[in-house]
Amino acid sequence: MQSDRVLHPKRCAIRIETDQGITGECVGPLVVAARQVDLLAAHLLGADPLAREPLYHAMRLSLAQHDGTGVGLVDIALWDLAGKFYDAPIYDLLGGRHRPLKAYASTYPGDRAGGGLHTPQAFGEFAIQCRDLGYQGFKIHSWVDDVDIAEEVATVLAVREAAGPDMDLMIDPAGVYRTFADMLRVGRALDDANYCWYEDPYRDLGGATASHQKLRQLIRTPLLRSDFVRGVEAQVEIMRSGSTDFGRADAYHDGGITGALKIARAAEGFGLDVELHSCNPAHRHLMTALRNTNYYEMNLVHPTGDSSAFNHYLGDYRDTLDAIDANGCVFAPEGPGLGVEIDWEYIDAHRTDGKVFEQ
Amino acid sequence: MKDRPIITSVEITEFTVPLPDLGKDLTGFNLAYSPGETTLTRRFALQIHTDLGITGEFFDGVGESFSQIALVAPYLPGKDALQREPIYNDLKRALRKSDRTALGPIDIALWDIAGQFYNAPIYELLGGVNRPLPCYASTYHGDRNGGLDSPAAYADFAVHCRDMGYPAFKIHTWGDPIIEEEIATVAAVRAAVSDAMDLMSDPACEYNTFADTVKVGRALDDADYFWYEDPFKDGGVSAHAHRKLRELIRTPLLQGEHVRGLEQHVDLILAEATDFVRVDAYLDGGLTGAMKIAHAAEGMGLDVEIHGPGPAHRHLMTAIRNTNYYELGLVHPKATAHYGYAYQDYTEDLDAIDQNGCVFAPTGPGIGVRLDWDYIRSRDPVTQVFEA
Repeated sequence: MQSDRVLHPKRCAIRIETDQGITGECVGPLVVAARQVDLLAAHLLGADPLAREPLYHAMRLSLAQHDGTGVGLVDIALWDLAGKFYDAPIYDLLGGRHRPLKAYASTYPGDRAGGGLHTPQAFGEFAIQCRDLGYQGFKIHSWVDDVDIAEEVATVLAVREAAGPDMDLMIDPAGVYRTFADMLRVGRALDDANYCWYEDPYRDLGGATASHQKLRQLIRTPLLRSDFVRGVEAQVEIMRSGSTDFGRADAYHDGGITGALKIARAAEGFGLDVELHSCNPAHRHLMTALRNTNYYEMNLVHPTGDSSAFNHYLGDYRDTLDAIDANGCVFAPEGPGLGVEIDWEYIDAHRTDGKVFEQ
Repeated sequence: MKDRPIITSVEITEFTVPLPDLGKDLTGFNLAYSPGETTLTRRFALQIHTDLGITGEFFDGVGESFSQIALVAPYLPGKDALQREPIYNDLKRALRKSDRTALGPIDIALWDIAGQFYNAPIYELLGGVNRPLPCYASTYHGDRNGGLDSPAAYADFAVHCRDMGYPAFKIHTWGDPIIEEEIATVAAVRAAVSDAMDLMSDPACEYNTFADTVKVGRALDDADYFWYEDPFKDGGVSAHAHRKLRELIRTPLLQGEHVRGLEQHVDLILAEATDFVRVDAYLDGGLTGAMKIAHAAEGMGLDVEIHGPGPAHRHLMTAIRNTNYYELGLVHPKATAHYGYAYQDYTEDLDAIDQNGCVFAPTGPGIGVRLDWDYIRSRDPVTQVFEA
């Protein structure tokens, strides 16, 4: 964080309209996904929006040479539409029971600005702040540009020291560590400090299965891969290789609720848990319907209270540091579909681009 | 939003269905053609009633599953009928020391409730689009009574099925297998239909030895069969043996009919003991459990093949991409099929297909077909009711 600057991150939003007047919509984090909708619109116009399964496959095929993230954006909007059509929240259609979803505070990356997350101690203090707010879990995103392994180790230990023995702690170096030795060194510290998981530490960016099989043998902290591979087949290969201890899924990245559900079911078949990446209404619905999952990722949060999530919904819905209840939990919205109302007025006022596809 | 359906009671009805021209084969465990004989079989129907007046129905299954249902039925009254996932997980744990087959009928009845509640067929709730489901004619076991009693009889029946429109044909052979006759049957059926059909062989675990299994496997290779299913007396559960078999023949294996549950199916796949994944909603945790298996198979890039017919399986298949054939059967040139007797206007008989050899999922709400209670009441029913 640099306190003298304001960033203007891009978001994208999609609205799918039908002849019955029912509209499916969602806001996504990846603008590249919105660009891909250019290639998907042809599948959608004139199609039955309830036919999510054939649409998922047709859309993935259209994007076979790309990361396919456009499928996520469309599929989530289709689920929103289905929920509105059946007058049911999505978790109901998935057979879930409305329940509290335990959240972890997932920090912004470290900074050097002072007053932010600029030292091991600053992370430690923020963990205490989060614990006092009710969070039962806390995940460190450490430094990106100028990572220092000794400082990483110190941060791992300082946060455990500060948070006490009972908080679940995770670290996500987000692919920053340059060498296997560095990854191992931090792994040893995580072992000592009894961390809950170690996520995507290495510069392989999700590609190097063999090194993570090795790492798995050398440390005892569970590994969580991978934010960096897309889709059920690739996630299954990682699970099957034994190089991860948790499954990872993101509805926006991995083919929507349809695609993320496939990953969750495959993980269940492997006897593994699936942890959903990042926070949004779709993930609250999905998580509500799953047994084999632990935490809702409230990201990215910061001692100043800032959040990187899109929080422009009308009504009460938000993903912010203080969005949890006294037990550190959030709930899925209970209205039809995603159960949230997007603040289109805000979006229209901040529009940088957009496109309409019509028959 | 609407009031939610809360389960008020669970009702199990056991009744008798007569199966004309069918008897038991030599070992006494397979149904096979027996002209003039009528076998009385006990069938089961499950009803889950809710406070909204919606009743979820299930028909089919076996007594073993239903004895488990009686065990866990008291859990259901008071539960929210839409909450299939926690119910699946609770019952899976409750029945952990048994085969957990009670899950299937209960879950399918709950899907029937959900479909009626949302006024939607189940395949639509699963995101599928109604489409033709290509069928294979899945024969009765061989007999020695003038039905399927020789390689030539199987071949003639295959031609008959091909002429009806079936794109595929699966042999269930004899309960007293003679390996030379098995091989002759494999070859005779291929010779009769040429390359016009996909052919499968399911000895239903009758072969006594691995060597016999390999021997028939070689014949399947030569005759270019589509799959080889549960061949020998390991009972269809040895991962090691089927991985070995996989190395020795080139016909794809279909294992898993005798392995219950999602995790077990995944382990079977990981052990490389099968090339196709077998799933049965009635036996593997209902549509909820079967969808999990289908998704796991999809993640491994494999197809799932659904075991046996029935309306729930039509819905399931409609919603899945990675699947090939609907198993229509058991069918026979002379005896009528034993499915479908308890539904109104619905059959799984030999002639249930269209001219392209396909069937379709029912398009009504839920399971889309209703049980014929007048018929069931006339068939010596015994009813158990579980209330709160």
